Amino acid sequence: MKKIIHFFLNGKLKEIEIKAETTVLELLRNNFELNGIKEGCGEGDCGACTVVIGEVRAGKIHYKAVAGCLYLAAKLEGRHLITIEGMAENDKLHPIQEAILNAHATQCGFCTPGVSLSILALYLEKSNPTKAEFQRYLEGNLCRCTGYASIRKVPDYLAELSIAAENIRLGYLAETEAKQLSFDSEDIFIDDGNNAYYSPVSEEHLEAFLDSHQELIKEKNFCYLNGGSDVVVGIKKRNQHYRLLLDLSRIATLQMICYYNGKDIAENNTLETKNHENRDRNNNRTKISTFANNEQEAKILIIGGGVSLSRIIDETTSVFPEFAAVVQKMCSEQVRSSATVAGNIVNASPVADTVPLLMVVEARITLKGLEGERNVALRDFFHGYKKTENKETEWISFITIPLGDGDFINFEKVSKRKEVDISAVNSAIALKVEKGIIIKAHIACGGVGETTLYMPKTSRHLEGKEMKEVTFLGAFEVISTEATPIGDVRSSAEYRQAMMQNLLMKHYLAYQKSQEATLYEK
Amino acid sequence: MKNKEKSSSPWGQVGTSPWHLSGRDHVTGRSQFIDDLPKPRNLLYVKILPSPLARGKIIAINTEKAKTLPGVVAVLTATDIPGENQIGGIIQDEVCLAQDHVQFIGEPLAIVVAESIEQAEAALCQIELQLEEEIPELTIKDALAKNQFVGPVRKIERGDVENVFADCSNYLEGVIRNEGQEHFYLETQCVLAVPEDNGGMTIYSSSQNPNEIQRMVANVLGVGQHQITVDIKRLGGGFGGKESQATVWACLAALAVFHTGRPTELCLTRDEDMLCTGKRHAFESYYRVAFDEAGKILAYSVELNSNCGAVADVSTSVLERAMLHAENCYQIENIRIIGRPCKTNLHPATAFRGFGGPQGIFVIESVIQKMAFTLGLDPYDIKMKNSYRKGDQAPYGEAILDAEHVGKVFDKLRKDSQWDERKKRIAAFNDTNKYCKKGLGMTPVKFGISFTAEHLNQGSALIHVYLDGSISITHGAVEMGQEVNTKIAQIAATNFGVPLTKIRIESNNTKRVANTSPTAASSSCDLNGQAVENASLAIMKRLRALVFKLFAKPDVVFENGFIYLVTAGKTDYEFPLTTFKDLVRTAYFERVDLSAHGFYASPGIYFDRDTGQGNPFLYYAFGAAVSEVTVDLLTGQITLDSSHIIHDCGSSINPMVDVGQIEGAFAQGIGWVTTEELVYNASGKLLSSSPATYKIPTIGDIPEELHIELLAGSFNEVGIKRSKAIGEPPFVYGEAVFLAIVDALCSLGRYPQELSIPATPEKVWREIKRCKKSGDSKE
Repeated sequence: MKKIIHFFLNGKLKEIEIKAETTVLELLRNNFELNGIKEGCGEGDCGACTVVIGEVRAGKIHYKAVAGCLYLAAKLEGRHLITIEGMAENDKLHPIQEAILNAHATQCGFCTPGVSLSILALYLEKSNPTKAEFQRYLEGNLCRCTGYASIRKVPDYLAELSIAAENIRLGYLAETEAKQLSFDSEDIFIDDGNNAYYSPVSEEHLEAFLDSHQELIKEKNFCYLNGGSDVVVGIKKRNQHYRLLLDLSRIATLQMICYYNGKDIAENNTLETKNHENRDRNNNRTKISTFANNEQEAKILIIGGGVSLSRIIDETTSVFPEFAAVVQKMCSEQVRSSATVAGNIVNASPVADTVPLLMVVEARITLKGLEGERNVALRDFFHGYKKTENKETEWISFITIPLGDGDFINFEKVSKRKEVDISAVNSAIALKVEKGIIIKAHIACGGVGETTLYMPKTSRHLEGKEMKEVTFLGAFEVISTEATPIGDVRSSAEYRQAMMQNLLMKHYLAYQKSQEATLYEK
Repeated sequence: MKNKEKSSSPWGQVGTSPWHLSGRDHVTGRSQFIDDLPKPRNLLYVKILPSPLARGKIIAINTEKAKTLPGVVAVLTATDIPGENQIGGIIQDEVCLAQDHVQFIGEPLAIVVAESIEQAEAALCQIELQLEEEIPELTIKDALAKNQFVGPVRKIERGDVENVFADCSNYLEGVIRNEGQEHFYLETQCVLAVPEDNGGMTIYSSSQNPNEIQRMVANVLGVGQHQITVDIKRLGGGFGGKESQATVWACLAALAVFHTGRPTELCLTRDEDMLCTGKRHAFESYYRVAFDEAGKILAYSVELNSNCGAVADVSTSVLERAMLHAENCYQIENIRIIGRPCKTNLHPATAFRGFGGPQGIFVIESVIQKMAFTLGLDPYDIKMKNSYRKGDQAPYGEAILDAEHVGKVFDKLRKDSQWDERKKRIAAFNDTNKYCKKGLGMTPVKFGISFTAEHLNQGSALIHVYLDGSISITHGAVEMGQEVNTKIAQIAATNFGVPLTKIRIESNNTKRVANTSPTAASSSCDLNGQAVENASLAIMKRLRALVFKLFAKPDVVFENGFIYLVTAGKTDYEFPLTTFKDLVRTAYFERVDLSAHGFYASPGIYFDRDTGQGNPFLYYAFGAAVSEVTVDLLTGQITLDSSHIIHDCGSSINPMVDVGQIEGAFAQGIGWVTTEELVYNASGKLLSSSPATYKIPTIGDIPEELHIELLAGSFNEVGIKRSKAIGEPPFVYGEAVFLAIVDALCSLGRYPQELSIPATPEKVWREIKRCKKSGDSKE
């Protein structure tokens, strides 16, 4: 059995035998004696184990920060792992490191390697980051000493060093990138006897693998990794092991983001191998035509089952800003860079933040499996607590999101902390308003039942009524009949019940604000 | 010899802000924490079996099956302790491994020592536990009802409060509550214990208190302290959580070494750490206050009740500091302060930045906020009216040194923060906004510097100057991010006149500095910096004598590695007399002692606990903060819009380090009063035991508008290099955020008196709901 992976570690090709469940955190500390990476929590919530991954997407190398405690070492095949030991070259500090010292942005030093690498990932992807982008990349790095004020000043100190953009790039990147681009992309299979890991490059390979491993499938002792931010925590902290992990992250077709504006298809078709491209373009046309038939003018966004949350922010903000805004409020960049929209859906958490919004815009998901392909409305996908329409072997191939013309779409969540926190309650709304009257309304809430709930009564209640505060106040009573929340460590049942109502008012206020903004623009 | 370098350029001397002394290692990942140390050969791993019950009798612990599992080398319980099963630092009421009964969830019952962590974990599941459950007492109310305390009830009193209360026109009484707080140091509790020859042992621990570890390990093992060496290079954060609570883990790792003869490591996972170790003390305090129409406080009585958990730990000292800070910055003629350390079945509460001070201050600050609401006055005015002035005395009889700084800070902050303009703007905002309200809060601080336990106010240091002019310093403080090492290196650099690169600060090691005090009470730089000062000046005295012998020049300065002649008050930087290096070489051949031990004991400190009178502090640090918040009335969520802070740290040794301490302490304060919530179930189990559910601030929780200023013109004549301690006082500024939330809620027409720390969205929402209810009933 193959247990060997090949990857680049700070510019050098490495070949090493690993176990299927080994994380990057364990690999670096135990196998390479690289102790710069720290374990602060082991569940992706503190950022002390942040490392940078360089990977090929659409013929280009992209860099991202990932949580080393959640990122399986098996995923490293062909990728470039940059650790804190790779930042200073020939004992000369990297400008980011120098800026951190000038800003006095390190105290006890335990979080500093992670902080440094988060900033590096940011500057490798965005040459001139905004304040918001800096916060986006750093909000996952907990620091208990500095209070962040000094960390926030690092970009200013970096600018003071008057560093040319190319100096941010590490000396060994160009050479490593060339090697990465010529790296053969093939299926990865690792079996250490107890656990196995399979990562195919295409959906066809996945089907063939499932077909030839019926016994494993029958045992039901396997799990898809679609980002893995929850599955790996389960393995490491809750002792939920699987005989087989099926990683979807290398399947090129699942990496598609595709936008149809009524006439043209804009593709962000990030395929690792070029020869697939034409065939997939045709596939995408077929996908769109099945939805665009009825309404020629409809706008549609298609998101592949392997698209990460970070890419939603980076690549769909211009066409669907409301969705990108939801994703921005979820977890941290280290987690968003691997976690996927599809993973957020199939995990079936009642507080999944992407689900309410996708429900109210009437998104559909396309499932693939051994029995073929089928298409399900997201609203019909959830059956109960952690129970879904998804059959054991099925995976989400893509998500189709119709973007109604001029609909008002809004998402609200309440959580103890504003960033990097799980919702106590979340809520999304989609409204079509004409001449002050609500023509169409869809509302969905999370955190108030066993699954995210679409609220049919409240939605119907709003339709036909005036777009006024009193209308939404009137809906309070209706929505309270649609769910019976329970209490837990995050909040009480009573608070959740009230938030279900109050977030309706937040939607109304957001609508008002959007109208004011439109007025102002005019 | 001509000097090419301009000597006026900074070389790291006191008053400048050189890089963090370990900065290069921090940013390159080379800094070693305990789990990063090279693993000794034959290392064994220790895992603990924590008590699943908050209270119960131990009927039996059967370890036979666990002992037979692969990789397991030993399974140890209280009966395997060769010395005394006792690790209580102040009061001897704390066992190392539970014996006969368990007192809190997470109390260690047994340890497994195995070849790997996985094998140790597997064996833990095979230990058969027979416990008889008893009903736990978890709340302050429970303990008060049964008079269960971990130490004596204390009182500080001045004047006659009852007399004033009996005849006053304005009177309020009530209860003020705060919950605890998890330290959340990024490096969890961790220890490596290595056997040495002749029955010795070296312990590498993530502890603020090497001396206590040395004493307790010796006590538990029944050996002399000379057999135990404790070595501490740095901590990945401490904040008080490793002052006394690193001890038990060190003792357990040492016990494992004792029984196996092999090196052992014990590192807690984040969940274990949060479940087993103690937190900041929750307080429930009852107050009574009498005041006049203008807001002058006539009498104040407060009963401070702290939830100490199962054992005393440092709780009596924490409570004492709360009592000594109960009046904060205010001159109150008639005052009575009572402190009760309540015993419950929670993990033992412990030191946490502020050490009770913030809790004591929180009560009086809340009381003034409520007085202002009642009288319809601006709380800032009331605070100014009551503030300490030059010549005032604290309730415990100490004259407030630098009391005039209070007024200076109050005046400047009011102007700088635009308090009055902001208030008007906020009132207008609140009039026009139905679903969100803004509020403004101000909190000053007067923080007493010194350990209130007199004997702890001592520092020590050991300095060696080597033949190449480089210098090795060991001192009694532990570096945990507060940059005590940077500051102490600066002190030495200034005294020896050498650049920082010539100075190495060694690990804290009980063989080089003995009987040290814990790194705590904000005073580790004060005490050990003074010891370094004394040691360096002792060596310098010898070197100066040599200079005089060699050059017959009485007036010279040592700067940046050179010795210059001073004539008529002018330093001749052009032609140095000699270099530090050459002077040291000559000194060696002249057989001059180039080493020195330094010692320091703060003068004039005493406190009589029975009478509540004395001089517990060497001096005071002052400051104040203003914060503005917006409260979302629909969700209870808070946005911190802006904060202004002015802080007095004397003549700063390293201004950027001090600003960093203020920023860090303030952020912890923000977390304490807003998002950090310890949620326990009815059995006393902590449910928010990981960062997934326990939320410390992130970068987004710090206000966009944050102004921090060090008070100019402050020189602390009794402090090291005229500086003031910095670690704890700024933590109190978080309370201004809480008061701002209260102020915002007051705009709804009702005082949110049930709101307690932390003001989580849900708790704020409950107050909003209560406002609505009381509003409805009026209608």
